[in-house]
Amino acid sequence: MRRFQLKIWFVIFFFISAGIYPQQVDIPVKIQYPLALKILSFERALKKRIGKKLTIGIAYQEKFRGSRNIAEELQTQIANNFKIKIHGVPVTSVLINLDKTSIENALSSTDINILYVTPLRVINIQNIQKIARQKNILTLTGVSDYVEDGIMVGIGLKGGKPNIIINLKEAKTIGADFSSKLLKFSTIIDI
Amino acid sequence: MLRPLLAKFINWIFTVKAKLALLISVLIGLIALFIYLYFPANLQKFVLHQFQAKAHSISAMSAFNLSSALYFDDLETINETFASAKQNRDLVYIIVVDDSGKVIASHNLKGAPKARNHVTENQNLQSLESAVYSTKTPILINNQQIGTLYMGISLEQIIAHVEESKRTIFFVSLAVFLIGILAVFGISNYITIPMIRMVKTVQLISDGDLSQRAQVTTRDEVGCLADNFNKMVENLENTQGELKEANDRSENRAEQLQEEMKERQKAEQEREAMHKELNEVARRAGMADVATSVLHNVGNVLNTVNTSISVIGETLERSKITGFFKATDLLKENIGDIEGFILRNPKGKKLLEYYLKLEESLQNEQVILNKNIEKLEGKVSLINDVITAQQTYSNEGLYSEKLALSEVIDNAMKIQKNSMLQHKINLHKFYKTTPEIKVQKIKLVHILMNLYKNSKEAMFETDPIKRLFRIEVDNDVQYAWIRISDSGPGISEENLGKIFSYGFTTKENGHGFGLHSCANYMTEMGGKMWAEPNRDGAGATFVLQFPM
Repeated sequence: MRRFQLKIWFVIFFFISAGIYPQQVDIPVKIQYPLALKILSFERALKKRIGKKLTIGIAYQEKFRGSRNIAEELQTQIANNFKIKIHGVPVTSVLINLDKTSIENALSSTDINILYVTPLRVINIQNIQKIARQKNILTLTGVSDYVEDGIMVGIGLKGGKPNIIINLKEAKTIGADFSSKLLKFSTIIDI
Repeated sequence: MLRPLLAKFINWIFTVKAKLALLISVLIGLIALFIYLYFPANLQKFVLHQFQAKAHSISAMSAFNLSSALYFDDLETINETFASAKQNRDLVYIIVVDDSGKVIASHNLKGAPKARNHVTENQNLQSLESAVYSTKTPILINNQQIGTLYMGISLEQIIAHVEESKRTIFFVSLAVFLIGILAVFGISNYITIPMIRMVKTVQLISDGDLSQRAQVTTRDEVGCLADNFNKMVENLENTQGELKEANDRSENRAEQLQEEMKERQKAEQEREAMHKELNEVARRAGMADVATSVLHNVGNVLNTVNTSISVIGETLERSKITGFFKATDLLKENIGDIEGFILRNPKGKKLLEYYLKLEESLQNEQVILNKNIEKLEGKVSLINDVITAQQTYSNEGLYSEKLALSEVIDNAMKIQKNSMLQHKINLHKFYKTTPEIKVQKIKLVHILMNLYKNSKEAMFETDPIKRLFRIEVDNDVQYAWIRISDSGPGISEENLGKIFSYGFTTKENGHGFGLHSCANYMTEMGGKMWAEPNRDGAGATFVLQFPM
């Protein structure tokens, strides 16, 4: 009986925990991705940063199922929409499992133009942002709260509609040149 | 030269064709004028309104696009917006200033008015006097103004377009007017030609040529009118023929009537003459009646006078005065020996006795003579009264005067009284009142004399014991009446309504004028008279009614 109760509590905890993490990503990945591409198209300085292709690094934690799922899902989206080009170049993706490697190593070893940050646990976001800035890499996330920690662009939900959150200070620091047309429709965080 | 033309024009202006043409021409002219005045103005207004709306839309759109660009200092987007705005060929200038008034970006700054700050937002474009329409639009972020957009849009194209439209409308109006005029004249000709034909036909017919017919073959109202008109003329022709015949007959009849009229006039004149003659005869008869009456009365009196004279003559003839004279002569012869003659002569003795007897005879004669002389004086006085009365009435004028009826009745009766008494007619006077009435005395006397005489004559056949002549006088507030009754045979009901008619009489030697003239006299005096059977027996009553 006691074992049965434990099992019940485990199941409840599992569902609760599984429910909490996905809530950090307000918008499904299949919507986030085209939206992210559109946002990037308004970044006029991006063209100077990229070569023949645009590589998106997906930072995730393998052991964190919510993070892993989003990472895999995003990777699938990028792979499926390989024909879509931005600033005339195709888009590829690289998974960065922060359970196995540090963000610093990952960013140093690979030619990443943009870093997408999935929901993460026990990892300092500001640290990720700091290293990305050093590497002159633009940062994106589907977790709205990460923008306040320094991530440049976040895609959240506001009033039932997608909401673009831009950390303008970070953008200007890193040399991103977002069109005011985008900024006009975005929530600007100037910290 | 001008006058005939003017006269011709005036004649033309009063024709239906001219009225129709002029009225519709004026109407078309007004329509054309309306088109010319209304549509360009309306078009200009519409175009200006549209232009203004478009300019403000462009301005607002640009300001909206520029708002974030200005806010984020996004010059590239500003330039993109400018480039987009410049696609509009009418754009003259575009200037973006920030909230401090600093020009952030501009296109053709020189083309902008220096006093652009005076340009108001949403200013109305009323006319096309200016070549550039300037707008001023605030650039807002979160409802806060962060700058201003000035735009100048050229009106040249609009002006050219409006001018072109005006010209087009002018020519359209002119074309409408000219075509309308031509159409009007064509239509008025089409409508009025049959009418003109009709008018010519009518003129010919009015000149007397009824053989003319309207030559109109259209099937419209004019054609229908022409058909009916032709039928009418045909009827008129027939009627004229009938009228002519009737006129001839009427003329003949008129001549006959004229003849008859003349005859009637002649007859009327004769009747009038006869009437006058009859009046004269009646007047004379009346006079004769009066004269007869007078003569009769006077004659009656004269009979008495004659009797008295005869008695006086016989008395004088048988008078002892002759013997007295003889005795006086004998006495004169023997005066020398008077004593011897009386004592010794037997004649003397007889003479003395004769003288003694003579006194008584002479006294008797004197009594008889005195008595007859007295009678004679009375009769002469009566004759005098009768004649005086007649003379009095004859001398009276025809003027009206207020008289007591009883007095006139009594005076008139004086003439007839003796005659009535002679015929043993009982006279009864019964004056209930003695009213004074305004009458013409001679006419009233004439009436009374006639009625007295008629009553008297009516009673000739009546038993003398029953002969009764009654005069009654009465009045109320409104009228006065004289009622003259006799106990004669009366008047039949049939004759009651005729007796006052002129010429009606029941007498053998009557003229039928007496009562007629009496009735006329009564009418002339404002009264009237009528006859009625006696209420209490045989005889008739004549009533004279006078207004009070």
